Amino acid sequence: MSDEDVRRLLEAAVRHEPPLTLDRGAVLREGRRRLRVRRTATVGGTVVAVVAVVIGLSALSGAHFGMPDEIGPAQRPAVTTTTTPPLTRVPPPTPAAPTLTTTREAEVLPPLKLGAALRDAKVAWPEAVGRVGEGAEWYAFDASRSATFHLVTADKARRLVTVAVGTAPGECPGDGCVEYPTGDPRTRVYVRELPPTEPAAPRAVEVVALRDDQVVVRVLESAGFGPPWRTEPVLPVATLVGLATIPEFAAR
Amino acid sequence: MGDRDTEFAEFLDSRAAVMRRTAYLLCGGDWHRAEDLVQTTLAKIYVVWSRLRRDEAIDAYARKVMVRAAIDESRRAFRRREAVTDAVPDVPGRAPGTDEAMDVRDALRRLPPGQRAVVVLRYWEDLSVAETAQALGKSEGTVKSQAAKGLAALRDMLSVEVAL
Repeated sequence: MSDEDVRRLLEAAVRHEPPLTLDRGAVLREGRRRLRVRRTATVGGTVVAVVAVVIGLSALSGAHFGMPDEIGPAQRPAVTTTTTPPLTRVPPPTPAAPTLTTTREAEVLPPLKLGAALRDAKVAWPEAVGRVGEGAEWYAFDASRSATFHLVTADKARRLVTVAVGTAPGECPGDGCVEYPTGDPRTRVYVRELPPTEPAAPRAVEVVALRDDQVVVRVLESAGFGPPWRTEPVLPVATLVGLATIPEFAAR
Repeated sequence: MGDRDTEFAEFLDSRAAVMRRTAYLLCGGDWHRAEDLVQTTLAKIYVVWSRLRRDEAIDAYARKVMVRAAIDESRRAFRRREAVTDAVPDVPGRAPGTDEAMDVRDALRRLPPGQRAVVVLRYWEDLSVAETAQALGKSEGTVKSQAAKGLAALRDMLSVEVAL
């Protein structure tokens, strides 16, 4: 049987073709539904991963805090001179609408462009605080649009920062979130301190920026892999907000 | 309708009929299943439309999604929809060539899904061995082997006067 014979047979099989009854509207509806599910899953997965890391680190650090002789970094004088309690600068809660009004569809940039945006962002980094990546440049994003880097202070203590970019319907990210005024009507920013698993556990602060183009940026500062970790946040809330609102994170 | 929907709708209008013919062969000859398969494929394409449009790889992606969806569906032990049976309902007044079409359709349906996909991609879509292997996620050796087996099975199943 030659190739031509096979082609002729296949053509014969489709010869008596009924009219196409494909519903274009149904296809578009199904496509939009799948897109929503995918976006929700992307952001949801990132949040779950970040929360898992926080819980894991808190549990680990909490175990160390249970042994007073091993509490080193948080008690050093350098901590008190370089650390500003971040939530003291958060304004009081304001009544916030539960959702943003979206005006257009989001388009999340590829990891390389996100990394360049993070690297070049005009963010007020504290002096004498280094940024170290995990096996890559500190600003490198992975395939899931997430970048993780360590903040290293002069006493070598560390904090961990995760920046995750995704898309989702905008809403307040959870209990205890406080709206942060940005002056930009297109972006709503929430700040919240994640509840510690134990009284002496390291503090973690999360900033979530919900943009009107449906791009969501989550920035989390938590305890680094320690010791030597640092209990108190290093970055002021304003810096975390600056990271979460980097304009180049979305192709507006 | 936004730009994305407009462009996608244009793509749908221009390719749906062609895609349904390929889907029909991949399904082993069922126009309803073929249309379902095309709808599923198009919905998956819609999700990644922005990236596909940039990469200009829409047709290759569509082919890959459709053929893999067809194989997955064929391998499911229990289908939620009615299964295709060997019993053909009485059809009064067949058009010329109908018998040959039914013979080929029945022969295709009896092929294992993998072999059927290889035959359709190689001889209907005119893909090379390498392109077929890429679409199916198989090695070129496997594609050659399944193409040979598929053709041999078609030859056996089809009558001499129809096949040759």
